[in-house]
Amino acid sequence: MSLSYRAVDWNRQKKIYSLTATGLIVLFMVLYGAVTLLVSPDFTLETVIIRGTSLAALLILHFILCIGPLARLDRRFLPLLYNRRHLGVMMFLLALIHGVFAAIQFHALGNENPLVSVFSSYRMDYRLTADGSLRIAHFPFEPLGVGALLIFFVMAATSHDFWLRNLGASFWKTLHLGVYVAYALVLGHVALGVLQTERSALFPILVLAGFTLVAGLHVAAGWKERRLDTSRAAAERDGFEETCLASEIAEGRAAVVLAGGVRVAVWRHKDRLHATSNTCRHQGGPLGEGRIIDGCITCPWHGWNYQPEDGCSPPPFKEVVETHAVRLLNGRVWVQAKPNPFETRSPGVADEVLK
Amino acid sequence: MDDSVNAAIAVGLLVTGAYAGLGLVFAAVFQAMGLKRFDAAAASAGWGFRLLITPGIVALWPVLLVLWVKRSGSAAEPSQFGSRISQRTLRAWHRVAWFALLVLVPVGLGLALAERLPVPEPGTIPWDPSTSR
Repeated sequence: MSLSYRAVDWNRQKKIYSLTATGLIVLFMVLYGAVTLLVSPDFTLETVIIRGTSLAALLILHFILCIGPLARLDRRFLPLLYNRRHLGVMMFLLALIHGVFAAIQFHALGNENPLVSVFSSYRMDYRLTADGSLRIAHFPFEPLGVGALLIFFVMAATSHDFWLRNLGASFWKTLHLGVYVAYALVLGHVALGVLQTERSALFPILVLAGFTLVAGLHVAAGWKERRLDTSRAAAERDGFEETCLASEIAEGRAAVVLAGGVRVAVWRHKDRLHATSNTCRHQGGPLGEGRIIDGCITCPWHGWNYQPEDGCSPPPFKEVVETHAVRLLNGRVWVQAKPNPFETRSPGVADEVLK
Repeated sequence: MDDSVNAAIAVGLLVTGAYAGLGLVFAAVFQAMGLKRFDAAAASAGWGFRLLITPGIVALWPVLLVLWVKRSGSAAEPSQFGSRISQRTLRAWHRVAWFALLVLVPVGLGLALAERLPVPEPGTIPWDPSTSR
């Protein structure tokens, strides 16, 4: 089987995702332009583009930032996560249009190099107080926007699978954690830019509401992950190993996994999970390929029986197989590599996802 | 001081431009000579893919150069840049980033709003040239 890169691996889901996003962006821009020109007919088209693209990019950025924690809190949001990169690229392109138009509108017609002017315009005199002192409002807001745009550029430019494969998941993910730095820069750009001149209370309220939503979701998801990490760390300390998904195991059947280099059969019996050695005491048959009949694990080779709770054969038989302790963490089965002492009775683990 | 600040900004822009220029040259050389050996999956990739990865090559050309040197002389194998970082470490960084934002953003927003200056009337510039820095 060979792997060859394509520009975009289009499939039906990606097409629906991208077409929907593009359609919504176009609709937003048209509606924003129409409403703005109705309310403020003296606005130029350049101003409408600058403001419309910035608002669209800001909304998409908030949506993108919500997808990650939402997918962790509820798996039904996972489809949004699969093609999040498409949204990221669209957001970057909108931010780029905003930046280019703003640079031309506000910096291209002076006697300073426009690119230099973007970084030096904080020294516009009207921002100085009467005594010449500096205030936080003097902090340059346009360079903050440029900084955010550069981070978004690097993220968009490295969104293809080629980069994930060649940079490695760790470095790539670290690079893309820069979205949080960019988010802070964008909020600074907004707070020290448009919020300095737009005096309606609605604007800061909306900015704060957006941040509260994104932050709240991250805190909730982080709290859930922290509990999971604590449980995983405890399981590893106790000698457990992560194996399979509980959902992979049918009632009355087993999944054969490796724990401590040894094959273990993880059984589902009356919606509880038990783990036993995969080797029958009779002639070494693969117990995990058998099934549970009348409450007993039944070897597929010669029908020898073992109770899943303690590995013992039902009386009057005395054969015993090893059992292993089982834990269930977020739907995944963890098996203790070291077997229990023979005939240790265990009720098994109830199959419910720990939240 | 105004001129020195502008000069420093101009130098910074020149350095950035030079970095991007070198990146473009590296992208051309890398795509012509190194891409197929660097990643076997790129051997039969089309021009759309090559165009799509070019901005990333320009942005990260020093990283790619290091990886290219590491992989030269052996079969193309994806190898990590830098050391592996566990998922738990990445999640810990998420938590640090968000706790920092939870403090910085409300404080920054509050300060920016509290320190707002009066908006000048169109056509007026209420400033004293002698206070310019």
